[in-house]
Amino acid sequence: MATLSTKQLDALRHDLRSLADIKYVHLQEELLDHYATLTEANVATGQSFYEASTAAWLAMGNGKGIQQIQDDYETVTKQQIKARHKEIIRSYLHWPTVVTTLLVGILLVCGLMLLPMMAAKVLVYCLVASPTVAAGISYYRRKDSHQELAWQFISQRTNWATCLLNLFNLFNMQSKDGATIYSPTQIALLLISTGACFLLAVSLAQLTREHFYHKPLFS
Amino acid sequence: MNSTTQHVLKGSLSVIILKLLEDRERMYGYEITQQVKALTAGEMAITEGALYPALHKLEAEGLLTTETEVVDGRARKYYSLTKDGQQQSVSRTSELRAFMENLNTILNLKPAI
Repeated sequence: MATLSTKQLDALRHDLRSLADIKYVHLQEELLDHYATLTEANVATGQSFYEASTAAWLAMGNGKGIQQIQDDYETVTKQQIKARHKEIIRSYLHWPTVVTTLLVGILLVCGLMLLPMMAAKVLVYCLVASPTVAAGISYYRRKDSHQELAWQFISQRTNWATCLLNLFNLFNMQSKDGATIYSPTQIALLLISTGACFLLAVSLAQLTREHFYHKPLFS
Repeated sequence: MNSTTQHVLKGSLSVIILKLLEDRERMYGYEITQQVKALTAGEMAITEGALYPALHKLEAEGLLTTETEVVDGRARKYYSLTKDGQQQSVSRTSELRAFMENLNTILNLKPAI
């Protein structure tokens, strides 16, 4: 069977990028191999490169059909990332982790009581903002298309923490001298939320270390 | 290929892939489509739009593992079964076989006189 030249392969790659908008490198390489092998088979029957590649393109489902493969690929990868994140969170729900987190929480409350109001507030905000830091790490670690999807997932989860931060600001009450007052329920909610944010940050940081391409997740 | 065959093929595509990979150590996408065509004398054809999502799903489920090699100046992705995939191939094949036997029984029913 005839082998395509580098220029011809570039032309096929260009088709995938521009006509089907294939943006993920691994998928593009896999589809390119299929497209090229199909074209080579057509060339072997006596067709010109142009005729052979056009026939191969149509056989692969044209632009829309190929785009659909990418959509399905995105869905599967996102599900994979989501399932892995759930698995990580579930692994924290064992008694040693829960007890350690509670003890750290109690220690934190004691520490906060000793601190001035402003310093305590800064510390709480830092904990709530920690998932954003995890997202930042993930942004710098994204090296390929799968990590790009992982980053999208992590940045979406980070929004939960941002929402919490805004909620705290909403329920803030000011006394006459300008100091912030929290009710006991608010303090309890604040502690649970900061704890949850911290665990979310750790889980997201753990997720950034995963690679969603070579390694199957559930084996 | 008529619509009934297409529906049955779509439903059993993952089993077909697992079974083919059980017989051969590793295969790439185009090879799978050609093998199905050859085994069924052209009666069945797997479209790329059905094959690749099925392969990616099986890979995400941990039933398939991949390795990439450069062949003729381009990257070729080979799929092979994981240990879990081998077990699943056996169980899913026997499940499908049992289903086909039941279906066959129903299809061979003689009309009551």
